[in-house]
Amino acid sequence: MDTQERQTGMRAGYIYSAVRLWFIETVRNKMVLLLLFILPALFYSIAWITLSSERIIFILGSVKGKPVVPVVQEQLGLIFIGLAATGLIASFLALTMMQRNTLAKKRLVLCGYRPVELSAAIIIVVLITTLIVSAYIALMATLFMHPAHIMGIIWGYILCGYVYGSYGLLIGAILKGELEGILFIVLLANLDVGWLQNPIYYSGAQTKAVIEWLPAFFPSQTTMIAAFTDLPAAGPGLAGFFYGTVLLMIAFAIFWYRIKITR
Amino acid sequence: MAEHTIITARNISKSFGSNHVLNDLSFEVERGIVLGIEGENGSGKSTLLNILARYWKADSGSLVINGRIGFCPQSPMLFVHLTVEENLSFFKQAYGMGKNRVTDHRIARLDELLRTFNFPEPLSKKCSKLSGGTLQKLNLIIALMNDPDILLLDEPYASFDWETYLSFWKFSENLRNEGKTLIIISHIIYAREKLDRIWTLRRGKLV
Repeated sequence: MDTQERQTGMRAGYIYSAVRLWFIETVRNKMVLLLLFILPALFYSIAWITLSSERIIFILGSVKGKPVVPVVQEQLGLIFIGLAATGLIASFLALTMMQRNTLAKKRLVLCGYRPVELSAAIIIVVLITTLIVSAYIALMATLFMHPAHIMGIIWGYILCGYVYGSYGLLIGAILKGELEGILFIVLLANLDVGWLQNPIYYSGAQTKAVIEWLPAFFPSQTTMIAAFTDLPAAGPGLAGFFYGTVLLMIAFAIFWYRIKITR
Repeated sequence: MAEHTIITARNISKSFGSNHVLNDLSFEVERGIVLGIEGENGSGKSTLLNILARYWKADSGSLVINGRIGFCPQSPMLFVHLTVEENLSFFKQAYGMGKNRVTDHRIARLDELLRTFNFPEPLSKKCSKLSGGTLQKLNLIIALMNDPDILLLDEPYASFDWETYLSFWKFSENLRNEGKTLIIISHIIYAREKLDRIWTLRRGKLV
């Protein structure tokens, strides 16, 4: 076959158009709006009604010396429920963004878009949406509790959105079926954020190494350090960012392979 | 490649697993003709068109295309949650079309295409609300708006009404007169008198 034309570089106008139109498309999706506004409020309300105000202790796994931290169960539960909502919504948004209209995206490439421009536009849309969702869910937490370091919590939630958004993009790049994709993200978000990373489970776990390799480990540690201690959270924050970036790069290598055309 | 030849394919083969869809296919297509490729379901028509459109890569062989391609797939590849106007804007950007009709003739051409195919809906309507026939018109307009030298059409008129069907053939004739090449694939080719060549594809070979 004739050689494939290597097109490199990105054109700002092309990326801007794709970002603008995909934002319009995302906002028009009623399921997205429903998820954004209803799900976090529902999660928080259930947690607020059901959690007790007893004091419990847990281990901070990412901090040197693994200190034991005492907290009120209700506050810990609310922080975790917010993380779970962020992870679930971010991964769902990213999955939808990646899976929707694959053939139309490929047609855009045939008509002149470069795969790298479409990839950049998807990253921008997912990052901005995740940023808004994470900040919204973190701020909503302040309706139920008054944590000391709200900016740290917002950063932890954004990190969770980033890592899970990247995971959603990866699943969307690998799987073609929407249902299988949703199953994968719901399964991991529930197991990882909602259960394994919960300090009560983590503190008693026999093998902590497996839990520490899962996507929500660093974001949840960053959030808990900010919410319940005065310790610096830069270490797990950076590790979480690195983790999310690796997932993102793998996702886009697969996406690029799927939408590239021969020239 | 001779001056009048716009596509030259040599020994093109394509398999999906153990299914050999195209077998050592060689052909040339002249500039300014309307070519029909017919064949039964599974004969390799769509595979061939997808390879010509550069959607898929052949497993072996060489393909030289000397011109700009417009591809009209069988099922519209569009963003259904966007409006007609937004889809057009997306593909205008993809084609690198300008905004000024004086400096870019394709802008005026797009208006002409919308008129020619009597595009009935307001352009602010979401594509998910369009009928199958109207969606197919938009699919065709997007393939044509870049003023391609070669137009690849996969079952183009399956959802057209009679009026659009007639407009399609009239427009095809105009395109041929402008020196453009049209390749139409279908399991049944209608209006055979309007085509310059008709090839039959059977089990991945031209017969």
